[in-house]
Amino acid sequence: MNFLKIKLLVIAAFIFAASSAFASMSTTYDVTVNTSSIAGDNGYLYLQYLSTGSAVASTATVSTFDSDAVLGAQDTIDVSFGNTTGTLPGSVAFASAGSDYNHAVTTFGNSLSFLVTLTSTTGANKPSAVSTFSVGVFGDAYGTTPLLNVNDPNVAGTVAMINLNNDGTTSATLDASTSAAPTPIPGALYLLGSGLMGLVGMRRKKQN
Amino acid sequence: MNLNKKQLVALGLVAGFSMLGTSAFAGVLPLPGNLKKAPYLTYPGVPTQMQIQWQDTVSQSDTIVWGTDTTYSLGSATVPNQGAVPQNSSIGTPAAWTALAAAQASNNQHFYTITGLTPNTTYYYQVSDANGVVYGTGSFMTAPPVGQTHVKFMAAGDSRSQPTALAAEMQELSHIYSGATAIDPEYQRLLLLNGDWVSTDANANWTSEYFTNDSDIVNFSANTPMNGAKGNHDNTSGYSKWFGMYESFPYMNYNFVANSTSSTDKTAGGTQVPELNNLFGSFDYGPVHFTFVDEYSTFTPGSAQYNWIAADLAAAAANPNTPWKILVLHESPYSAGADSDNTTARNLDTLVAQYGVDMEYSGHSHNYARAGVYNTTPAGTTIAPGVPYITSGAGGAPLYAVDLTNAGSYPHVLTAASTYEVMTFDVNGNTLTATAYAVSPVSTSTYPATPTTTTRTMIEQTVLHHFSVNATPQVAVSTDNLVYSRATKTFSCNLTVTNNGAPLTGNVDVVFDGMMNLQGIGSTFAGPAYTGTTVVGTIPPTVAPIIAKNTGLITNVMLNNATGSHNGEPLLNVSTTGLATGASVTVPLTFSAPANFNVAGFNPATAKINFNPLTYQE
Repeated sequence: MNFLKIKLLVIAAFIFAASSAFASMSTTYDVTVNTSSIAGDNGYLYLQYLSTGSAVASTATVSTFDSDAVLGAQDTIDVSFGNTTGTLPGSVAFASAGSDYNHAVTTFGNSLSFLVTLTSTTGANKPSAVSTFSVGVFGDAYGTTPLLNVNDPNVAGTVAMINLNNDGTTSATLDASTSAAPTPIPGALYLLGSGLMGLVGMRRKKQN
Repeated sequence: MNLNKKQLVALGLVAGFSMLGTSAFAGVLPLPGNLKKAPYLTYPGVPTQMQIQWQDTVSQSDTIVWGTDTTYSLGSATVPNQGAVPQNSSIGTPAAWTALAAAQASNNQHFYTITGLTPNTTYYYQVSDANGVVYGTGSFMTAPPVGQTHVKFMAAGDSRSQPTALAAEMQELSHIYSGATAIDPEYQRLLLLNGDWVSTDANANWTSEYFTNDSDIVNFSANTPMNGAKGNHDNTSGYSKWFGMYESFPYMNYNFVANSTSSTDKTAGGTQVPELNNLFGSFDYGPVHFTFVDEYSTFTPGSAQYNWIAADLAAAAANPNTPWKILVLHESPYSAGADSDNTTARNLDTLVAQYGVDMEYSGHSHNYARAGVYNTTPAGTTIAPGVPYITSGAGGAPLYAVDLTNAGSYPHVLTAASTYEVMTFDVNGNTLTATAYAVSPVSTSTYPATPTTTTRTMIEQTVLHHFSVNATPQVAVSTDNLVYSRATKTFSCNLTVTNNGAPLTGNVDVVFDGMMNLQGIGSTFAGPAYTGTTVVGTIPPTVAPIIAKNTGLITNVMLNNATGSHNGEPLLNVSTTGLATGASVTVPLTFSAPANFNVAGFNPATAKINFNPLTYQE
């Protein structure tokens, strides 16, 4: 196999990998909620993954949960649909855009953080269809008493809404208490691909 | 008395060219020459005519000129003391019109009807005396021609008792068609009034409350014809005296009762003022037919007035040029208080339903309110379903509180607000949009020492549609599971409409009837407590969480993606390309709960939203 073929294979592999990632794209957000203003209070951490309109199939996974809060038990009763597997502080998988998870917090600490990965299969561009992963902090199991973001009645208690569009793009709306940054996966792939090509080129030169 | 140049200029400015309706100063104008009451307008019921009237202190002939601009080059006439004349010889009784005209002439009043005008046209006029002293100028827009399908006009009621408040109301009415906050110049056309023009039907009251020569009142009256119904304060034991003298509507079925005998009811020339009853009548205004009821002349079923109303509404219902019908009567059969509802007026409910009256427009209670029921008439009542009963009685008289409990005396209240207000009506083909506006500031005592400019704030907007096909019986409507998002406080689902009948074309709409689960289909209105003295409705009007009587669940949620409304209920356009037989259309729905959503023990995970889908082809 000559260098050109290897190069093309690497390129093809990269393109294939990139295409696959594009066709079944995952985006991971690193979410951190500053709970120092409610430290010592009890309440609930509510996570919801919901779609409207004709959003294509997608899933969400919460992982690497970390907090100085004292967690209570998962509340499987006061949810709209459940449809999740796993429990905090372990990973929680949301099977579809129609899942929610409610967890009692005995005592909030100064912060909580986790990664959430949204995975979708893209289809035709349907700009009106969106799946939304949201994070809420409430004082009651029903989600009617907000502990954070209390001033906006339309989204009271919700500190983050991360939208996954049908074309694979994402966006986030955040309360001042919360940060949510996407992790740079596409850039890393380019670096890996470039690195691989460089290694192949060096080996061929050595052989010659 | 001769006016100096400055006074003449001031009079000309504030007595008004048509587009100079805005007046930032409210104050009493000096009266030029022998003028006693400045020129004001009445629509005589014919699109090619306009009636102008004024009063002098002595018997004299004045001159009126008119034109399509202020050169007044179209016509002129010398107008002696003379009274109003009926629209045609079949209107009212000859004795009534003869007595009225004689008294008006004796009272140094002048009535002149300009004829031969072009519909939908703005004209300018000027009244002056034989010495050339200008008594008033103004303008008007003539009525639409027969067959026109769109029109705009204004409405108000209960102007009595507080002339400074009336002045503020009229200033803001002029702002609706002219000035920086104008909505549309077409609103200059007409002001519809629903009664209680003054506090007592006496000459002194008309002079002190209505014809104060306040600049805002003079300006508005000179530029917009005012037509309306009689109120209880315009009434004396079943008849009117001075109301007929100053507000003569050529289409009213006046009947002569007697000559008044009181010494205070004499004209300037010493003639006793006639007492008239049967102040009921009607006229068409573009696509709208107005029927005016005299609640102080017998109108019980079988009476002459009742029979006349039935025949009038029947004729209007059969007239393709008047698809919209508004019944105007002073005392509403269904209000939000504080005056009692007129239960005799409920005898008209069957006519309202039978002939498709679109709205009842009333005053009497000094506030704004909308009452009604949906779908069905509750047992033990006769209220016509699907008809808004509007109270618009805060046009100057002292304000009343509103009763939102929907219990006891006022069981059908939908919205209400205790505020000075005016209304606009925009009729456009198959849609009528009625908008109520709060007016402020409104002084109720002495004239302000400093200039005051009024403003308005929307109270609510009620849209009515005339649909071409009620497709409800032929379609099947279903929803999938309702899901609640705690993030956005919204409920979402999908609505599917399947047509099992004849093809539907064009726009197909679904009205979400029962979203407020109103009285008549089983509900309890959990509004603020009514103390009888202290409740004041807010703007927007107060609508508290409505708990369904039969389920105990909150039902007054809002449809976020509604594309319109019909009679206060959400409307969603589900197709613009019709729906073939056997075809289905699926659309998303998003509901949000009202701000006062928190009901103890409410669990959104198990919530239900009740509504009755009504499907129409536009």
